[in-house]
Amino acid sequence: MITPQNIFRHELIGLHVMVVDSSHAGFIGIEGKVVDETKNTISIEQEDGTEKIVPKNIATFHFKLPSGKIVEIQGNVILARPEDRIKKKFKNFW
Amino acid sequence: MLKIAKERIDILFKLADKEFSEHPERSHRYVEIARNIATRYNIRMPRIWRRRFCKNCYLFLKPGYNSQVRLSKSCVVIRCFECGSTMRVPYIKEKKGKRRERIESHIIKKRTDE
Repeated sequence: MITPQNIFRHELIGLHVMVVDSSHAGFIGIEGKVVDETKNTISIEQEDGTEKIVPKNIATFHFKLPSGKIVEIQGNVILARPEDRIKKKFKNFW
Repeated sequence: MLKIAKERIDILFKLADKEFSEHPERSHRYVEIARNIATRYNIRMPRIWRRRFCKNCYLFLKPGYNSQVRLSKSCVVIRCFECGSTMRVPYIKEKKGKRRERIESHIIKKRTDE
């Protein structure tokens, strides 16, 4: 189960996401499904089918969980490889 | 922590199955991530997903589209059309168990008749 408490460690691929804040204005407002994740980027498929690659460290995301809740996450919190995030310590972000 | 890893593997393979018809390269990428998680935390692949990727090129397999499943010589033979290799999964243990069961039930019947 993906909950707001363990979303840092859980799978982001497949979730609905929206970029709400970024240091580069062109990234703000990108909305769609997460299709891929690397250490520094998230790639988002928009509704019209185009794919956008957003860097994590400068953006803030709104993730929509399967239960319907919306969670805001700063990109620099999830700055790790997808398989490394399970064991990463998030102490100083709480 | 291990529970989260198992859940993530399950989610990734389900997505790979769903996306294969339109974006096969995505499903191959999801298999790669799932394998990375499994190897890093020393988790065995779940039984249902163990036959769904090639053991030689590690690409996602969908029977009827890029793989072929046949039975021969007490083995499930899975042929990958992407690289041409074959995987063999023996089912001789199940076969022997069935045979043993049949013999035992026969003996028990005989005893009850006497």
